[in-house]
Amino acid sequence: MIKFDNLSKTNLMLLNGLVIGLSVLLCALLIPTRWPGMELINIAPNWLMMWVVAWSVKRSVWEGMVAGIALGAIQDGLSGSHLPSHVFSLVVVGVLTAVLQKQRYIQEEVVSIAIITFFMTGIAEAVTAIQYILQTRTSFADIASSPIWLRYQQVALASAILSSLWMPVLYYPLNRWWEKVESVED
Amino acid sequence: MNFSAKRWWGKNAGKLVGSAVAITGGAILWHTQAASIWEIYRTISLPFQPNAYSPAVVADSRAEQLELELAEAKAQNEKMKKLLEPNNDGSQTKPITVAKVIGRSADNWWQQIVIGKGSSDGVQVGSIALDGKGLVGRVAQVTPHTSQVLLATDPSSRIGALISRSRHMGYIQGNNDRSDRLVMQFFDKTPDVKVNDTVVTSNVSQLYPGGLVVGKIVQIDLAKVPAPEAIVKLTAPVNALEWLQIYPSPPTNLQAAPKPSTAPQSN
Repeated sequence: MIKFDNLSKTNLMLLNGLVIGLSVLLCALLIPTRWPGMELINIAPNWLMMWVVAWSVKRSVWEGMVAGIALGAIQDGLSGSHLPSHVFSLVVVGVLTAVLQKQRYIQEEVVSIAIITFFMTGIAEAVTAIQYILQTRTSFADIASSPIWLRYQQVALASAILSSLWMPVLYYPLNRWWEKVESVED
Repeated sequence: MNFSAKRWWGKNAGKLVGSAVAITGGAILWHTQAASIWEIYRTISLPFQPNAYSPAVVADSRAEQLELELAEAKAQNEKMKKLLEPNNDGSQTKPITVAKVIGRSADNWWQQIVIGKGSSDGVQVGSIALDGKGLVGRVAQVTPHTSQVLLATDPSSRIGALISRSRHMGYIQGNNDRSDRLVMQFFDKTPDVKVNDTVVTSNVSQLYPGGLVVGKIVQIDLAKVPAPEAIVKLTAPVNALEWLQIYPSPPTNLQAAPKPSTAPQSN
């Protein structure tokens, strides 16, 4: 076990940077992967969004926003299509998650992270759906009968269930690590 | 003043540098279409991919089936091609490569798959992906050793198609609610179509070569407005794909045989 107290502040920052980079890479690599339990009606957990939630929970709005921009750009690159963009959805998720914690609605960690993830997935997919609606110029009256709305319901629900169930796997190691880093920095 | 600025910098330097690094990194990956991540994914995942049968076996067994299915459509196509383009002998091009499916879509809204062959194997954006049984989709993005194939089932995919038996034309479009079923809309008000008819890509399609088997008609709704509609079930098992044959995209074929200036204009 590494003695954190012995590390200089610069080294700790570098190590933290490495953890951040590798965990984002891991999430990016998990996106195209479909292991058993990672798929419902061909829909998978939204790993990069889950990372943004884990990151923003105990951070400022600014930090949540930066994470949203960076990871949104990565997911845009991965999916090869730049409109609708994931930057918008992930920035909204990052900012909202950071704001939510400030108001201290939530105390119990175990359940609350899963619940936050569940609703953030719905919001993120809604931002994507809105971009589709604007793009295809669906009129307001036709939204309810449009294929986008139908797809939104499927994607949001399936992805929200999977993301919130897989969230602890991502959140606990990261949260423990960041708590440790913070305790050493203080 | 100077002191407080210094303190502010001391407190926030890490965050600012971190933000700059994060956004720059994101921008680079965005610009390069995350090619590095795909390459890493391929390297890691390749040893774990199912290797039940070799490309040679697939090519042999499925080629036979494909030939039977296409015999009729091919004969018709030859005739039509010769009528339309006297210089094009209509010879079938060989696949560039046989590629293993290594991953699924990077976004829940798009229906894509990732294959383990890329630009270094001759795959290009627009290359056509076939399973031994029928059309799967076309390549939307390539990195040196991976490519992303946009499935024909994606809502953004539109393919010019026709009924093999009656030559009635229309186009098929991805359908969100049922993954291996597509909607075919006909140009004719009263198309000659029956359940179990084979649907093939049309010769006038710009993105796909003509005569590729797409699927079979499973349901017909001739009363549909604005155009008669049918549901097409793909012959390729889009939810259980393992190996794909990648063919060059049609424009490269057509360049070899210059079109006569009197070629009919259509889309």
